[in-house]
Amino acid sequence: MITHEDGFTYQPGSLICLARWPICLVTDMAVDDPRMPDITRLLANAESLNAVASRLMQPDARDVEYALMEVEGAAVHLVMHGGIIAWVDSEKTSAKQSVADIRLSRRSQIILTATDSAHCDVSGQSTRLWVANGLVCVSSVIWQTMPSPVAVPTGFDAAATEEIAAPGSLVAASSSLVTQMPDHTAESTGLTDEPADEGVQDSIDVVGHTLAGFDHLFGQATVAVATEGMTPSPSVANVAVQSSDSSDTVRPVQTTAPADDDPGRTQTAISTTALAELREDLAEPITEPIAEPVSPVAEPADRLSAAGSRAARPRVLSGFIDSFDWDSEGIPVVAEPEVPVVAPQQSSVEVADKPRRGLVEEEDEADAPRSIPEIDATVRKDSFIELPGSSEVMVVAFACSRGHYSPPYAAHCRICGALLDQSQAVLEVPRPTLGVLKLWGGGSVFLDRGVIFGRSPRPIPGLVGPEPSLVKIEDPNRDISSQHCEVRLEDWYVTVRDLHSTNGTQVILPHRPPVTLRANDPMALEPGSRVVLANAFDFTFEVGA
Amino acid sequence: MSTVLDVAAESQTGHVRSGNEDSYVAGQHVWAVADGMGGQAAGAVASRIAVRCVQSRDESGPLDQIELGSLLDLINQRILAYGHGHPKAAGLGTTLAGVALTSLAGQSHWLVFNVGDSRVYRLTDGRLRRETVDHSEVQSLIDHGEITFQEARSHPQRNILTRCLGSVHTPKADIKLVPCLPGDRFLICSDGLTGEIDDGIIRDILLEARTSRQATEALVGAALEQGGRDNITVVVVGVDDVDDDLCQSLVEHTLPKSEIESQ
Repeated sequence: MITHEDGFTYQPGSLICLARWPICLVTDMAVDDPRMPDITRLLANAESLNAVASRLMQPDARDVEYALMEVEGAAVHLVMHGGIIAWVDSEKTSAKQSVADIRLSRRSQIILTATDSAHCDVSGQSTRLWVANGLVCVSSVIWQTMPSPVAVPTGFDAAATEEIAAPGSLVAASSSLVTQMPDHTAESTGLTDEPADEGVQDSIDVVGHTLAGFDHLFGQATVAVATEGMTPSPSVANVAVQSSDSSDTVRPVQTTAPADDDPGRTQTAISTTALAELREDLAEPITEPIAEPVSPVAEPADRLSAAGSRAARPRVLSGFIDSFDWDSEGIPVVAEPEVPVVAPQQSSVEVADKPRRGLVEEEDEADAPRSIPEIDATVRKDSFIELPGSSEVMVVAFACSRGHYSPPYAAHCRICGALLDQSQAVLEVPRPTLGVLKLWGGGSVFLDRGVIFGRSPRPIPGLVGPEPSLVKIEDPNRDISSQHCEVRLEDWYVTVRDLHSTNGTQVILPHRPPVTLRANDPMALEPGSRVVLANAFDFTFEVGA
Repeated sequence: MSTVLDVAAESQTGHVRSGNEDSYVAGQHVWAVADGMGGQAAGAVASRIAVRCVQSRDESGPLDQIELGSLLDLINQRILAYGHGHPKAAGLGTTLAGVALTSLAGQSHWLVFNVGDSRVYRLTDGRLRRETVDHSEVQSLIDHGEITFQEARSHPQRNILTRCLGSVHTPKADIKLVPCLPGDRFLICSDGLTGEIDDGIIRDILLEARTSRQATEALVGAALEQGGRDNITVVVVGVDDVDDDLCQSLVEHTLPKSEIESQ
């Protein structure tokens, strides 16, 4: 079994694969499809999975079949539409499935392919090529977790490891040439035995759970996996795809060596510093939301620690599908991309006529910035009063046969559970009520808007959108703070955050132990969640018909 | 738990209109203003239907959020039904804005609700807040940054509503909870008031008036003085007392739990 840190392996074929680590898109679009430039721009600009999925969900892309994958620590996100299939550990995920979050085990494998067969050849016998960033033609794309020790294949020229041969020259299907091979020295595999695993395991549990917490939106259970700690392959083979200009000749691509100063070796060992950093990362539970996307061109050492720590550090997601920017053009504003697209490779067929989409040539003008409406929630100097925020929030939705609205990536209606027709056109609708909070001591609050709880709750200035309801809680012991916690509606999500309360807020997601919130750190709620304020008051979030 | 309120209400045709199509209700648990629209005094019918439904429901006891939502849907259906039965009045409709006293987690709260561009203001802590968002064309323009709040006051489309009761597509009411605090003063009014006097004047009047009756008289008087071009209706609800001996906890600081335990 082979794995490649920071990249994917593939078998040549006729589907298009656009890779931009950690994202990979496999699609049946042609290279010169007019929608391609949008996608390649998004990927080249290191846009998020959401942004790419957003483009593919535009009405003009309804016929496109694709599988979109993003590797995130110990988990993989998949968005699929049409006939391209994802196999996870030999279990086929439903082709109808729009979205899945899959937590991976120490030995997990994702295969994206058009072949409806479990016998996707990943035994290593046939050609397996490698790509981190670029456009290649594939029949299947494979990504794996924890690798086994790998031998350098025969015929591999050590001297050639400094550069990856030009794509056009990777011709013979029988070629055993594989690109960078990470090596697993005893030192690196020794990582798995470190006590730091404990921290990693906890972090993964949190991640796995958080991912499962979106079941009610996506209707898909996460794959149950072993919970042993996972460590990444520590060695890195980084490839910076470079291009000089718009000429048709493809220049050889240079590999950037890791911090280790010996680029000629195929064996790469982690430097001591990086190893120490990695251990620290593993020990620390992480709850921050997703950071900015990886910059396209990074120094080798940075890439090593960034990649290593990213792989080691499963992050609590603030939301898998963020709100989408459905503005009139449907195309996000992009800066001039820095990473161009490599020419498509074809093992046995003639090279495509337009080997390189002009990512370098094309220059995108930034759209004129939209004027931002003056929505004042604070006192205006020219008036004496406070004005509420706007009243209506629009969301993108699918409708079920009974007319309930659900997020457009859900497989099932969030209200009645009916199967959603995945081929329907998405609707833009005012956001429906997302559920209800049932309060200890009696009463319900409907989630058409957020809620602030406290002994003396006040609206938070500067928030956009409808003002939250304010619920005053009686507390003779004064355990509950004036502003204690807030339930906020963000797109389709219901989140709770502690407002720097003195005695804290705990969240008990169904079948999970209580988690104490960090101040101002939002957590998404799923139906049945209970939120406890200072052990003195609680409410439960419910969704129903 | 008993709460003491000081309530006053007033409704006037104004100097220009020939009839008054506003209505109001000052009940036991609900207070609201309805501003009707429609040809040939149909607006008056619509607003009366609305307040009568509210009044009749109010007699049965306090409402919660679900019941309030159902009540508004019911009013919508009744007005539609009237339009079907009286073709000359077809298309009639009304706004509705108000407050309803309710209990939540053992504490008194207000359900502040509106459909349309009649408003609810709350004077609390010496500050005036507008608690409702207008469902009007000009509000949409403001939301999209196309006009300012000031421009809206004289905008030619300022009377066009995006939601009102009596619509074929049942309008979604905005309902928001706020705590019931002693000293707060609510103003529920139709746009006949706010079209004539601006919020600064409203704030000053509400601050200075010692009783709700003084407030309503001053408000209506000021609007008439400025022209009185539309029907003017105001309901002022002052919270004198909330029978809640925990009111004191609002002003004191929270004690960390460990401190309490060590005491």
